[in-house]
Amino acid sequence: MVSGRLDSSPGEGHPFPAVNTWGYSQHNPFMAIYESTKRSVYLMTPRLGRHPFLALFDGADANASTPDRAVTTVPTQALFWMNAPLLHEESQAFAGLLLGESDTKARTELAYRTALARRPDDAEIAACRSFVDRYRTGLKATDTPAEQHELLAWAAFARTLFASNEFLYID
Amino acid sequence: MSPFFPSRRQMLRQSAGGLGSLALAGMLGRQSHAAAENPLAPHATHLPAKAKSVIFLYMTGGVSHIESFDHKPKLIADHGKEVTIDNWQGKTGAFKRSLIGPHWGFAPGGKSGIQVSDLFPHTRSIVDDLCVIRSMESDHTNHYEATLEIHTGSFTFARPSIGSWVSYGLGTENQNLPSFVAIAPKSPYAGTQTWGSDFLPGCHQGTHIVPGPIPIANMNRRAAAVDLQSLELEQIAQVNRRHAEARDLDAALEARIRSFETAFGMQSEAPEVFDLSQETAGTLALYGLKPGQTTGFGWQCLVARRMAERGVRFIELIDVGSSSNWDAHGDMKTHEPLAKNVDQAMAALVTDLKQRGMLDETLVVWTTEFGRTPYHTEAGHKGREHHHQAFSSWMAGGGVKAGVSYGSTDDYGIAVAENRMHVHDFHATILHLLGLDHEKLTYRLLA
Repeated sequence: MVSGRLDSSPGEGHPFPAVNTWGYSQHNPFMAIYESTKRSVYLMTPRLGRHPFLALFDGADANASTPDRAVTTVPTQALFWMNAPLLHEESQAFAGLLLGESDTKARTELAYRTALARRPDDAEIAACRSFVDRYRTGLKATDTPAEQHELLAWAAFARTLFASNEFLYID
Repeated sequence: MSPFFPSRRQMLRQSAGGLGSLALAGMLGRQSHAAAENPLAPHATHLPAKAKSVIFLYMTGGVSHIESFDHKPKLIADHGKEVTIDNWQGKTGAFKRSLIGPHWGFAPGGKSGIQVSDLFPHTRSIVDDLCVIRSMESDHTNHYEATLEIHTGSFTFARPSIGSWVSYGLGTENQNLPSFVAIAPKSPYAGTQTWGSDFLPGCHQGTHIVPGPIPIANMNRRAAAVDLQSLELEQIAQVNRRHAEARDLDAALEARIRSFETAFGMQSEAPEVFDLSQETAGTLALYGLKPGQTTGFGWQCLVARRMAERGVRFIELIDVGSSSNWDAHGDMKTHEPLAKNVDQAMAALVTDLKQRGMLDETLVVWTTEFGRTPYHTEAGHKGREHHHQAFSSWMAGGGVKAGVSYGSTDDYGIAVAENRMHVHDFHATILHLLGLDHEKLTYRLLA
């Protein structure tokens, strides 16, 4: 949502194959996963499997009554926050929005207001400035195109916000 | 949240006086037990443990017991003879069927002389290291239900997989790798339910590893350089520490901070597990692997040994998926390539573990969801149907008596004759070897 890429429109039908093409059996089960940019409540829930994203983050088991969700914190989830293509795509989309502001202070404020719904304090603005500067410098030693360094540095900052406990936990 | 106003969490904790401090004392008490903080930390066992880890070899589709480990001379002699059976695919009655003798010969292996069919020559050569179980019994004739039962003990409702129970009961030795993995090239009959944690916490679910170049999702670094990723993680840790300091003693926040450190470790440790370049040519040849190969049951078995070495608790290997498997209704000859796919690799696994002195603490289990009928409706039919009333499995290492067979079936391999090993007993035995009492290993779900 904060990257501006969430499609908030209601869900529509899933791209199921035409009924006359079905040849499902226990030997050839229906195992499709349909990706979507809409809210996850509209994801297709397969009975035989679990959407990999919902499986990773303790989505309810569709085969059992789930009055209380399990809450786990495992390294495979952290790997998602660090390396998943989705996170990298969304963080770059978010960075694109931040670059619309002219200076570091304004960008930091927009980032905090959008992701965490609060203003950053002075220490946080300074930490952000230092992080983005160091990241930009570090990018010079990589084979990434120079014209993308500003975007990539802010995308990295965006990821640190998305991965933060403050972003994840409401309290 | 403004630093000047207490959060909901802080409010509950700080303002409730007596009640709050009681709850806090309770939480601190639990925190002193490491498991409360990290559900995957190693736990004490109920009983002395013989095995530390399990490698569970699961053959999809139903391997014929009378053409693998259950030698029935009388079935060979009486081939074509009519018998009347009282249970056909779970239905009771009187059914006339024609006996079908095995399509492969048998020969005794090793000093123990345990009979193994010609489908498994490599396994026969290591039979002195196995405990062959010939009295397995399950409850359902369909693949889906029987697959669930051999994994979860239940063929009706979704339940946690045996690997999830073991992960829950014992935790794991290596926090840089998952506690329970399922290495499967294709989805078996019950899909992810096969290795699902169901009502147990999600951290106990099997991590599905697909043989190939990227076996664990997101395990490869996407940041442009290692030091840039470290910079990101440093920033996350700093922000999270500042956040946690304002919310003292919150185990969930601490656990999440730690999960990033572990994930960073996993990025280097996981690819290392799958990198077979340091294995000797001799080891690769033992498993029947070519250098650089990243698929095949040999790869699965060698990766399983490397995981057991690194402290992964429960490693399940599934040979094939829900089609083109051991389900030989049409022609038993389809067992041949499937046996060839696994035979050398699983014998190599047992041999390799033994040579490295790991077999004593590693329990290797071989099973399938059910056996196949020793008879057919049609005389001389080439195929066999599902047969859950009797089938064979084996165990090796992990404190299991070696070079013996346990239990038996009747003269034709139709029903269990002695020392019945129901799937539930099979699971209880695995847990027992790991030091877990199956009656004490419980999880309070709703109460």
